[in-house]
Amino acid sequence: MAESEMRTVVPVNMLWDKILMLPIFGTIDSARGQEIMESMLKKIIATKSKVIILDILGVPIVDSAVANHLIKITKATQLIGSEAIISGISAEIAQTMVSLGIELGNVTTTADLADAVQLAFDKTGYVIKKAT
Amino acid sequence: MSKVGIYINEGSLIVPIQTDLRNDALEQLQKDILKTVRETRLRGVIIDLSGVSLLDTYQAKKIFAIGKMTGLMGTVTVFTGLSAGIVVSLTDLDFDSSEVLTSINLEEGSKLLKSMKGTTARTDEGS
Repeated sequence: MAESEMRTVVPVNMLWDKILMLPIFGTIDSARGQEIMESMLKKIIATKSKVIILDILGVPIVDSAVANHLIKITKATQLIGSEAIISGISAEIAQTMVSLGIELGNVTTTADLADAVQLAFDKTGYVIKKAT
Repeated sequence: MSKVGIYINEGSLIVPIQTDLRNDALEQLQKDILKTVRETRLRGVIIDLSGVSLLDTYQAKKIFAIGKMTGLMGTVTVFTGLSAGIVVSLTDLDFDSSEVLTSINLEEGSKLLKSMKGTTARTDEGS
């Protein structure tokens, strides 16, 4: 299975001081969810990050199973003392999530990565300024 | 007294737990913390769990309950240094952690308490 071969990498990126970013591609099953969670938590501890942005633009469908994994991941982030922002919620995903009655709880979500980055900067106390 | 040391530093109570706790030790720790909170005017409590390698749901419930109890007494409790393994297992067991305040390590926890100063200060003047 091509998917299982991809399952070795969880690209947790350091976006800025105390801000991590993790793009998620493809569907999230239990094994992948577990893997994402573990690598993410280790990286959060290592970098003492305050915020982690989960970009799910590459996730084609968010059904209740996938949403469940996302909720678990964000709960784990909260428990370790960090905060998750989910970015990349497309119009289609927003529609399916609402019509399926999926509740993400009090997780912050944004459509664009840019908004999530802005939020992350706000939370860590950074101000973006145009140098003119 | 429990075997766990309780220290007061910069107006916060610091409780570093460096061993896996037995249930009776947890009970004693809870009593000690609440007694100290009652006797001293403290801004907050930091319970550092970085030395704990295993925490089952019962123990987690017990220890996080201390946070709720101090909350009732007007003192915020931050839990710091939870290991990735503990977090993964608690999440897998669907542990409800919505009311638990956590920080990555002792330093961040202390910063968090400092940033909350004022909003959580005890208003009663009695000690």
